[in-house]
Amino acid sequence: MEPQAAQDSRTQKGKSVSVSEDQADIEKVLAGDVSAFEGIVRRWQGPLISLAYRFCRDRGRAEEMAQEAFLRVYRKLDRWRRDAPFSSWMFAVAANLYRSELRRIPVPTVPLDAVLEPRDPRPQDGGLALEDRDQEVRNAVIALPPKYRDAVLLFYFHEMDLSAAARSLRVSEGTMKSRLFRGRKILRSKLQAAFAMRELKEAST
Amino acid sequence: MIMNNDQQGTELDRILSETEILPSSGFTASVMEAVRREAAAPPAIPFPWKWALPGIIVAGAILGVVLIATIVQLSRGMPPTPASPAWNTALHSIEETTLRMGGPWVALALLVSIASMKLAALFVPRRT
Repeated sequence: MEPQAAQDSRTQKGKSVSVSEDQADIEKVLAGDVSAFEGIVRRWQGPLISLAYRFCRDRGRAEEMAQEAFLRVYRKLDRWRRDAPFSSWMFAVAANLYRSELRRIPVPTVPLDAVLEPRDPRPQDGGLALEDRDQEVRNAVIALPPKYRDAVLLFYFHEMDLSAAARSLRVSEGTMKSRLFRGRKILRSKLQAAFAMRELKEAST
Repeated sequence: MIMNNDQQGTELDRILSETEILPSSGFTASVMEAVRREAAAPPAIPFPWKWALPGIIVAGAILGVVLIATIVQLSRGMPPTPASPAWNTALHSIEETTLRMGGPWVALALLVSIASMKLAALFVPRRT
């Protein structure tokens, strides 16, 4: 585990989050000042909702899941060991909850091949077609087997930082690497076939 | 145009590196309301270990004695039945009482209850 000093601040999508601010708020919350938790919520709401959204692809549900994650973090705050960065611990708690939520109420998915079937084979506006394809790829990630899906989602959420993603999944970096490799391989093979088929159909119309 | 593996990898990286979702305006207030409710709620009733522990220890000790006695008898090459007639009588009496009180049905009901709890736990999120 990385020493606390090495993690002076964490950048999440361009925003720098100070570790000392988190630490100060946590101390206050543990001393009984519940309102100090608001600072933690304000600093981390964006990342936690974004992570939830990656799992469920539904904005409303993502906020519900993130709220439950904050509640869980609040309940377990005294279990955070100071030798691990708070953000890593919090993301691990949240990722664990999101995975359980998805097991409880799965995101409606169709088989990977069907996800990538063209809905309308006629040539479309370039921008819209690209947007559609991006969305289909994201849906295809959700349709992956859970252990590969989680690895892919967390790797990209952590801006391709393998060790951060491994910490959030509570697995070794080696395991993370192999799951990621396998997940991307499945995605690539499915996408290659589907996009080639789409291009053929588009060319024939 | 069919992409090669590298191009596909880069394309995947681009697509999956999404921008952050912004929370709705009332999100912080909603979370804090839930946190305050949680803080104000009375603490969960803990399992009464103080009262249950003696019973658990006694049951464990009896089970341990029976297991050790069985192992000792087996190692001596004797059938794993209690040696003394008093022990036999006691076991018979326990067996009869258990049958009279519907012991097998109670055991079955317990098993069904445990199975139901386990099944329910699969569908309901665990609260810690």
